[in-house]
This record gives sequence, C-alpha cells and structure tokens, in this order.
Amino acid sequence: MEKMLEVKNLSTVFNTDNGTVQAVRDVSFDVGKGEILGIVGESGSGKSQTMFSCMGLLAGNGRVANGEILLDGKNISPLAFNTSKDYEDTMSDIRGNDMAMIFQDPMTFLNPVLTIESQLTEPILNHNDISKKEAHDRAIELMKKVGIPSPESRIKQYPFQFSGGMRQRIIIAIALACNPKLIIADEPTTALDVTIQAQVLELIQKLRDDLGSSVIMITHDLGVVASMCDRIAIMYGGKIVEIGTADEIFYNPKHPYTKGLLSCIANPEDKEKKQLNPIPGSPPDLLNIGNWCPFVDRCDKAMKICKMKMPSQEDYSDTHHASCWLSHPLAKEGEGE
Amino acid sequence: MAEQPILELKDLKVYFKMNNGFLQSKDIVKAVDGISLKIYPGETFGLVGESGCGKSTTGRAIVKINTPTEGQIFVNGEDITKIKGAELKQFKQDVQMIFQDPYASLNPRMTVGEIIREPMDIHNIYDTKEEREERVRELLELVGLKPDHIRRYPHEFSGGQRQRIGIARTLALNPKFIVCDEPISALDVSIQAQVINLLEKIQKEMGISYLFIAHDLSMVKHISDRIGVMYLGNLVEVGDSDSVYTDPLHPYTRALLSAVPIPDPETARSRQRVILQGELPSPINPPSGCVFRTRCPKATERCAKEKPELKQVKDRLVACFLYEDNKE
Amino acid sequence: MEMKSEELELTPDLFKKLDESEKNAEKIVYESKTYFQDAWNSFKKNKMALVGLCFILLMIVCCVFIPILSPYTYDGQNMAIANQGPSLAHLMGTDRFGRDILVRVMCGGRISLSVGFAGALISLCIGVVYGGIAGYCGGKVDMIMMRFVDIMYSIPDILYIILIVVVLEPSMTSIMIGITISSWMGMSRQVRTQVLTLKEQEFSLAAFVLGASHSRILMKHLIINCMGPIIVQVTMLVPSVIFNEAYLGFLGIGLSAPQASWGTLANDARHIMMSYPIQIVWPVLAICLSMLALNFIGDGLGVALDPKKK
Repeated sequence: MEKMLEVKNLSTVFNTDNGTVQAVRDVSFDVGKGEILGIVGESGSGKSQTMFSCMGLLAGNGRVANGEILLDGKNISPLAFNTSKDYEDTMSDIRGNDMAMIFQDPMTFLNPVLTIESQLTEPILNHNDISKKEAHDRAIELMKKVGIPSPESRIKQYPFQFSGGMRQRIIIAIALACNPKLIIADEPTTALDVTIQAQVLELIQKLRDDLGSSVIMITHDLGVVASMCDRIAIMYGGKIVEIGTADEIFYNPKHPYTKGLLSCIANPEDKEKKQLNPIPGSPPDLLNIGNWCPFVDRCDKAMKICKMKMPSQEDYSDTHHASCWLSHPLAKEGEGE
Repeated sequence: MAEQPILELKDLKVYFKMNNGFLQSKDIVKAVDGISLKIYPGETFGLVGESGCGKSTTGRAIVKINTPTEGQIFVNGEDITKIKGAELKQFKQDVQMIFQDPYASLNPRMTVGEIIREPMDIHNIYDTKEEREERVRELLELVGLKPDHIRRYPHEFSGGQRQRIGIARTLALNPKFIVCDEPISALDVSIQAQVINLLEKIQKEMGISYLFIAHDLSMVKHISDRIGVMYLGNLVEVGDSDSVYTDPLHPYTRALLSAVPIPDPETARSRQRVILQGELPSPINPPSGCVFRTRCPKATERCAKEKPELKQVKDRLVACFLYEDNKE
Repeated sequence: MEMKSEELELTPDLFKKLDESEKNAEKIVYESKTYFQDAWNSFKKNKMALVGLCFILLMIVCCVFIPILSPYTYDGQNMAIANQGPSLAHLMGTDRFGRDILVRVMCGGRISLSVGFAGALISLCIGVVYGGIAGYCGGKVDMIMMRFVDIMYSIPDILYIILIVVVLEPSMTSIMIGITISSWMGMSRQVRTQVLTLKEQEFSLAAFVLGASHSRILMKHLIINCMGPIIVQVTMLVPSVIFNEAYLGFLGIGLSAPQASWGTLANDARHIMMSYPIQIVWPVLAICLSMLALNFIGDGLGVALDPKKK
C-alpha cells in the first residue's frame, strides 16, 4: 500500500518548570492511503502530542527534537526547514488542506460568536480561489454529507444552538472542507454519549469509504478501535510498544502492556462474569524518565534487563511489531514463558 | 424477595426551576420524573443512561444534595426526605457517595491524611487523633496506597490514586450503602479495572450495597447484579443484568446496547447496529406520552397519547406498550 | 532489527525476573510541596514583584528604625534651620519649622502603612464573611445581600468617608472606619463569586455528604480555596487604602498636626511648593514608590496564586 504519512524516529520534548518532559520518544509508524490507523494509549502516553507534532500544533514550550515526518513523500518535520517562518507558511498551507484534525471538545474548537457559515467557509476560501457564493454552496453540501438536517437554515446559526453530537458533525464538516488526504481524529467521541458516538463513528467510516482519505484515530477506548481500525498502534510512556492489524493486536498480543489492557476491560459479550485483571500501579510520568522500558514498573514479567536498556523492535509479521525484552532468545532460556 | 430493601425510591421526582432572567416565566426541568426502585442489601444496582437522563440527579437526591420535588426515599424502611438531627447524622454515616471527577472531589488544600480523617472528625469517631491517624493508615493500605502518603497533597497523585483516596474517605464511616456516581468514567482504561476490583473487594468484605451510576454499559454489566435503564428522567427497563444485556426488551435498551463498542474485532464487524436517529429531546419540554417515542423505530399513535408504566414482562420490568398484549 | 549490545553485554543473568521491590509502580515523581511553597517558587521568578517586595520590606524597616535612631524627632522644631535643602545632617532637608523631613516622612510612613495594612485586613474580614455567606446561602439571601453592596457602590465613597471623618472628629480611628466602610465591597464580591463556583465543586459536595456542618464547609473547604484571589485582592487594597488616606490628608481632613501621614506631609509642603519644591517631592515619592511596589507584588501574587496555572 502507498504510504500517506510516514513518521520516522520522532521525538518531541517539552520544557517545564520541573524539567524536560519527553512526551514522544523515538516513534515510527506509517498510514497507508485510505487506511484507518488507531493510536491507543492512556492519558499522558504521548498519543496526542505525536499528532500535534505532525500538525505543527505543539504548545509554546514543546519542540520536535528529532525525526522525519513524511506527508505523501514530503518531509514536513520542523527540523527540515531553515526558518520557523518557512515552516509556518508551509504548515498553514497544509493544515486544513492536505491534513485536517477533528478535536475532542467541539465547544472549545468552535468560535462561539461566529456563525457556522463563516467558520465552515473560512477554510474553503483560504485554500481555494472561489467566490463566497460557491463557498456557501460547498458548505451546505458538506453539512448534508455529515448528516445535519435542513442545512440551509441551520448554517446561519451559532454553535450554542447545536447539540454536542451536531457540533462534532460540524467539526468533521470543517475538517472535510478541502477534501484532505489525511484526517486526524483526536478522541472524536470521548465527549459524546454512546448512541451519538455510534453515529459519529459510522460517519467517519462512511466518509473514508466515500472519499478515500486516510484516517488516524487517537483514542483510549479499545472498543472504538476494534470496530473501525485496520491497524492499531499501542502507545505507552511516549513510545509505540506494539503495532499491528486489529486482529493481530486483539487475538495475538505480544507486549505485556497490550495483554494487560485486553485483560482489564470488560467485554459485555462474555457469557460468564470474568475477573478483571487490572494492571497494578499508575502510568509513568514522562518527566525525566529513564531510558529503559517504560512499562517495567507495572509489568508482571519484568526482568533485570528491562530496567537497564530499552528493548528494540521485534517483527512478528510484516505488519506486527512489538518492543519487549521477552522476545529475546535469552529470555526464553531464563525463566521466560 | 421478602427481605427489606436497603434503599427504596417511591415515585421520586426532582424538578429544577430554570431562571430565565428577571420577571421572566420560569421553565421547569424535569430531571427525574417519577422513578421507583428497590435495592437489596449486598446488591449492586447499575443505573445507566445517556447524559441528561437524570441518573446522576437520582443519585444526588439519595444523598440529599438535591431535594426531591415529590416522592419518597426509604433507607432501611425509613423515609429520609424529612429527617433531622441525630437521625440525619446517622443517615450521613450510613449512606455515602463516590464522585466522578477524582480531580475535583478532593480539596486541593488538604493533605491526604486530613481528607480521609475528616469524616471521623465530623462524626467524632475515635477519641484521639492518634487512633484516627491509625485508621487513616489502615484505609490507605486497604485501597492500595502507601501509609506514608499521608502528608502529601492530592495534586501529587494520578487520577486513579486520587479516586482510591476518595474511596478510602467514604469507607472511613463504615457506610452501608454507597452511591457511585460514574466513578470510573474519568479514569484511564488500565486504572478502571483497579477501581472496579477494589469496589468489588470492599463489597465482599464489608457487605456494602452500591448504586452504580454510569454510561459505560460494559463496566456496568460487569459489576452489577441488576440494571436499570433510564431515558429522559424515566426508568424504561429494570432487570437482571445478564438477561437485560442478552435479551433487551425496550427499544431504547436495544439501541443503547447495540451502540456499545465491543473490544473484539470479529464480533464488532459482524453485529447489526440499531443506530438511533435524532437527539435527546429537551427535559424542559419532554414529548407527551412515552418520552422515547420521538426516536423510537416502533412508535405508534398510542405512544403519543398515554405514558407506559413499568410492568412485569417475563423476568423483568419494562415500560413499553409493545409488551402489553403478550403479557402472561 | 538486530539487538545492539555494544555498551551492555547481554548475559542470561540480566534476564532473571526483576524483584518486586525494585519496581516502583506507585511512584510519585513530584516533590512534596505545599501550596505556598509552590506559590513562592513561582513568585521568586517574577523580578519586578521581588523588587517590590524588597522595597516594601525596606520601607517598613526604615519606618520603624530611622525615627528611633535619628537624633531628631518628628515634632522637634528649630526655626534656625527652617526650609533647608538636603544636606549630610538632614538627608532630605528640613521643613518650614526646621523639622527633619526624613524623620517626618518615615513617621508618616508608619501611619500610612499601618493604616493601609490594617484597613485592608479589616476589609478582608468583613468582605470574606459577607461574601462567603452570600455566596454559600445563595438564592434570596444572596440577592438581598448583593443588592445592598450595589447600593453601597453607587454612593461615591469619598462622600461618606468625609462625612464619617467629619462627624467622628478626624483621628486614626475615624479615618480607618471611613476607609474600611468604603473598601470591603470589592472583596465581598470577589469572595462571593469564588464561593458560588466552589460550592458546586465535588469536594464541597463530598464534605456535605459526609455530614460536615455549614460553617465547616464554608471555612475549611470554600474560603480556604479562595485564599489566592483573596490575598491578591488584599495586596491591591493596601495601596488603595493608603491612597484614600493620603487623599484625605491632602484635603486637610486627615490627622491633626504635629502627627503626620504622607498625605498630610504633601499637603503641608503644597503651600510652599513654589519656593521649596523639594519638600513636596519626598512624601509624594514615598507614596508613588510604595504604591508601585505594592502593585507589583499584587501582580506577582496574582500569577503565583492563580489556580489555573499548572
């Protein structure tokens, strides 16, 4: 499959009062054209910061320290540009046009004092040389596409006149305004109720099928990725610990963290009540984190080496990779599995 | 069951007046519009529904944060809506609440020790400060934290740790009944199971009953013995958690269940979804008759005229006309 | 990918199980810091605020010690050396009665600063209690209490300060009463807004569910959590009280001679401003610099105590 986005050895750091936070640590992955990739992780695992690095939306105290970000073959990492102005110019051209983002909280993303029309036509007018009338028609068309009833009258309304689910649809419509090649959805359904969540997920999937865009879905909910993602990356402590197709991740997990995650969620389909096996402890703080496996403190199979050196990536199939010392031949000799 | 329920709600209604401004007519929000249920000792009752359905208001009415507009709340057979003085004090010891947001539910200016000790200070349990401190350490250990965390402040802990501190605080009074108001929805996946297991362990050891309020059906099904499904201030279905899940009767329960994401790619791909159309109507002006009829795929004319009552259908209670005729 | 092992030789021993004691799953990375330590660390970073704080401390020390250590007294007249400019003997010169201006300014500082701090503290107590009760009770009580504050606000404050001072005879006490009556409203509004939002927070609901009494919830859970804005408000109140007092002094209804505050000193110097302009500079300078310093401190505290910051 052709690659839409390829991220190689990306590292992002934040400077804070307490020290340096390594939010993203040497992360590599890619998304094929028309593919849905799920990035799953807990809060503070670096999943959102990875995507913010790609979009050039890092907060003021954050910077990309290392790595390449290839969008359709073109390197858009800030390190590839000579001046920050060059970078900003390129990115503002790309953002909304080639790649668009769907945010978690629709209310903070939409400007409360502007009508839906002006917010929806703005990206269209910015990136295309068309008249206001054409942009208006296009906006109506987008609203129809995302399933907002009677768009002609609702386009004149303000965000507060829409419900949560409808606002999220407007965000999606804005993201789709310029037919982006890549849509990044950052927890698009976390703030929504389950029945509305189902509607929005269905919509995103349908749009992928119709438009052929690639989608990166950032979430903490394994249930969401199971139903809609082709491939899934599991992030922990700023690193991708395991990546593979949905089936590989769910039916043949290799990393103890992935296994742990799967055994601590309740599957309502289970006939008998199973005991949940929580992962003990709390996720690591990425402030001054040591250069060894981030999961070591919560892992029930941790070995001495795990607290000394970062494991390297092991390939289980063309698509399935995980980073864990347990796959090392010496581990099996020892007391392994 | 002949046993006396630990908690019984009789036609509970909680309405809020919305102030539209000076000299304007007041709108009435019918947050909870007449629900009745019984919870037995040692049982976990799950209350599910979407945001705005009144499930949290129900929980808050039980612990007296919200005052019921009508109806009664019985704890151990005693109506608690109008109690005062010593009875009220005893009630506050017996009935406790675990809150949703672990970041907001602990006073940021108090140390963990002070937070957990506070209920004992209020109710004068134990004579000396030393005995109370001892109990605080015990409670910290019970919820899996280190006793030397006692001097630390809440902001130094992670979400899951804070939620466990909150649980330790509610346990300080040895309550008989705890309202858990979405205790895990603000937590990370790997932490949710810790809290659920802790709640189950406590229930086993101390015989506490829970009212478990949540919107996450998979966890509710896991922890609850019985489930009540709420929609727009009304209970639409009440029954044993397994049978409600495997054979939902009310059209809303069906839609809700089919929308739950399933963490299993094969089942997720193969199943049929009932996607609900439209949005939740406003509780200020709910639909006439059955509140669900505006989104119900099986609504008839009768649903607009009459309001269905909760009635025994098979092994549970359902409020829907679809099951009127084939009632055994 | 091949395993790199240049730095670390992989021996089977390294693949032994990690002992539970070496794991640190419930580790807390952040040092234990109280709220005020945290605020102080952030305050220290603000240079202007730090300069302001040093200035005010220095001013207080000077006000206390210079009059004691100086050979002159604030009321000791010596017509022979009247209206002298600054010299080594009199660093700020002398006034028209030959009194040492430095000592007089410092004595004036004692009064101005103590009126400022005391006035702010009294306003704090009234404002916190009033606003706290209004916010906590809410509803009709809140409505009535806040309308009263609105009425108080609608009367120009200088009007009733003057009235009170004139009726009660000008003295420290009457000035204080007048000034406090005009300055507690801002504090009460601030506290009320804070309490209104805080009482809906889950921790105060939790205290309610635990059976805490109303006064306990109000003091231990609500007021203590608005300490930040309250402290900022107090530091902003001090200069405004000093200013009000100076204003009264300047109008000639302040303290009676020979006692003096910065305001009355400026007023005295005003009459001979054309011939000896230097005499008015000192008290005005003292007022301006103290105001500026207190405002810097207020700003610094505002940032340091802001609960929204990380």
